[in-house]
Amino acid sequence: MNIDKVSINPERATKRRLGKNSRVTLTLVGNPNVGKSTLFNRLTGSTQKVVNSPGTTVSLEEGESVIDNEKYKVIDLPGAYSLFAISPDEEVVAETLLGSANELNTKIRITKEDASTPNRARNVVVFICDLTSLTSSLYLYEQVKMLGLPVIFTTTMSDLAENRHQLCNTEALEEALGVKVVDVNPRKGIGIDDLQREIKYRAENQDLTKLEVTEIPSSLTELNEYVKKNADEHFAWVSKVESDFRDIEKGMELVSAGKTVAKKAEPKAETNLSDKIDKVLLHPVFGLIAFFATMYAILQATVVLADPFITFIEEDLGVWAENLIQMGFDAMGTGETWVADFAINGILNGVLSTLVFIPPMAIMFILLALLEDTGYLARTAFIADRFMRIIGLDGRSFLPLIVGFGCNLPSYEATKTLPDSRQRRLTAYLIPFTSCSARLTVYILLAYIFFPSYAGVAIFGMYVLSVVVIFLVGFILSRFKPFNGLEQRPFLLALPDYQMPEIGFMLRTTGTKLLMFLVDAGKMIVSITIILWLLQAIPAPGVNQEFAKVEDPHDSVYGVVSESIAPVFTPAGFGDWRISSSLVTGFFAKEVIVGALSQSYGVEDVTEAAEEGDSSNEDLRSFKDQMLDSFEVSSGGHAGLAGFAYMMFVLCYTPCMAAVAEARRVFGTALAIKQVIFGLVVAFALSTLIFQIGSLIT
Amino acid sequence: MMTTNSTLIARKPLANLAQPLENVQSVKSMLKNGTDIIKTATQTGNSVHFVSFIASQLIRLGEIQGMDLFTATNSCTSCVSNEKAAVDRVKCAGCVFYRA
Repeated sequence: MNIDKVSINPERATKRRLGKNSRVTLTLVGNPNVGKSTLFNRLTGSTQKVVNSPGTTVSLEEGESVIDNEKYKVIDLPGAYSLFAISPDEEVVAETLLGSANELNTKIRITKEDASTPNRARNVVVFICDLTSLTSSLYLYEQVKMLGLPVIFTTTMSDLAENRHQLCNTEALEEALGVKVVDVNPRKGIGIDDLQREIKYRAENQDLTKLEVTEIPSSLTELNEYVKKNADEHFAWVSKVESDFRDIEKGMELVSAGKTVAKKAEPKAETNLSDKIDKVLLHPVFGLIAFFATMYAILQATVVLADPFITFIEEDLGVWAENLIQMGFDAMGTGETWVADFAINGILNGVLSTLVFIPPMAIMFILLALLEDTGYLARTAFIADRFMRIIGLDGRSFLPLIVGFGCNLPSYEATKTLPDSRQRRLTAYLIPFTSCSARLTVYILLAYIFFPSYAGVAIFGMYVLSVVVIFLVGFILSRFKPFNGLEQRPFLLALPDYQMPEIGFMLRTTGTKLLMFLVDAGKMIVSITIILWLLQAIPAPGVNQEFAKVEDPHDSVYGVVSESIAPVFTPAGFGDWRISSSLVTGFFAKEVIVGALSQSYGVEDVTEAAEEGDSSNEDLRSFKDQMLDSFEVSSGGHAGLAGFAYMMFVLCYTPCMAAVAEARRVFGTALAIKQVIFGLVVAFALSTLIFQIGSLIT
Repeated sequence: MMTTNSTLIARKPLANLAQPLENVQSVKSMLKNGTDIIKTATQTGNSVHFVSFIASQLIRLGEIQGMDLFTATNSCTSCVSNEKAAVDRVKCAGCVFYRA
């Protein structure tokens, strides 16, 4: 966004903050990593939803908080270091606050002119100050306060500040600032009641008739100029408050202890335990080893721990539910009708397809929360920053991408830790190119068929290619709008102290995220599964079979669709309907590509035999022969090359529907659609390139 | 502890900002002249933390370039520019990677 062209749109700003009702809006403002989102989660529970800030690509979290039976709308603004905005996220913060201030001024004017108008402010800013990072918080606070908005000053991390012998007495801070300070620990739920009381009091007692109109900048450009012009005064104000804070706290301690108290240490003047741990974890060599070991452990733990739960859902729960539904329909005498088939293969299948993602997502979310809660997540950003800069991203983008190698789904949620919307979106475009574990089955099978002598190398090569594609695509995208220029931004990252995780809170937030996934993404997954069922249930024109009784998928509309798109893949060497149909099915779940191919080639599902490398399996051998034949025909004698191109296509094309549904939940419909199209284009381009160039050489 | 009613009082104006303002201006002047953070902190009597905070904000405001700030010799493990270094919590000159 070019801020020179931005001016405040009162109508847009009003809609953003107040919606269409008269509820009080609480706007959470603070530096990144001050516990703002944790407080938001604590205040709103599971009522959160992601909305795009109007006219921008920045996502905001919105939720609802109930205090004494009154509902409040809560907006979690992105973290910002200053109202001098240097990223789209900070522009949204500045614009939202500026819009609120403009609106407040308008209301004050109206109230003064007409005493009969409501005189309560409908917007309260909750400013969150991390006491371990007081300086930068105060600097932002000074700018927010200048806008004249009702602000509640809230402090977090007071326990950590105390442990680190930093300034931590909130009563002393109150004296220094001259405003009430509410100390909270959102992770433990401490102080939330006090904050809610303060919010309620502010919402009910902000008398507009007693306020004066504040002179504020009229646009972001003016705001930037204002911040720049007054920077020295703001720095001086921060310095003075810190100095007063120190003196007052020291005085209070003297009074309470009745003896001389050692002067509080200057911030960060001594080496603490975190510094000692950092000497290893941020070490250029040991830090990298620890980093990759941690990432590997997370991926392995996700796969290993989730596996029994997935098997239970697919086999035990799935079979049990299917039998139960079938019995119900049998009892009604409709067990052989399309309705029973629809209930089992349409709806139940869709529900199970959603549920199987719960175990890996839950484990991944808990492990990621563990990393974040302990403070290691910020270190991973530091370690990964150097090589991520190559593609215009900073180190924080590495985590969502590495998570994608386990499963693409949790990656989208993991992008929320990124501070800049462009980074989040660019990362979202790259996530589908991370080769999730579901694609491994396809690689194993195709490597066994096309490259039997060096199957292991071929499979490993696909993972190397995945990394190459991510860097290649990232490098290219980062050169074009809207992603260019990311690498020029100063990388400002606070490293929090290491701390013990709050298990209860981690589990609660994980539960909330899973619930949101089930409700939002689950609807889409079930809908798409039903569409697939319909396509396979409707007989193709000219086929004399009943609805939902089509035995060969080729005789269904699904077969017609697959056949009609098959020629598209001819340039890539695999223009055969059986192969194209497997790609269509692969959109629903990558795990079922092998099953779909088996079905199309008329053999039993060979997924297990392929995974075990059971070359004596008759079905697998028959399948291999047929696959080789069809690839030989479709490629004009370059079966191996076409097989490689097909593997490349599977690596790059659209992620599964559950991942698309999750992308839509996190980023909105537009990005989810663009991402699918982009993936298809890249996959087609690369597979065609491989086949065409390879054909010329071989 | 202040009572709830006092939440509505206006911020108490901080008396005498002249001295801190003078201090900030000397810090800023030294940083703009290319003096490194440690030296600036030592010569102005400020903490390294406070000086690095001002430096990071000045970089954001476009008043100084990150690379010009440091004279220490360690290489940064984060910054793509691989410029000069980082001492104490100020991890990097190029990217101003610091412990807040």
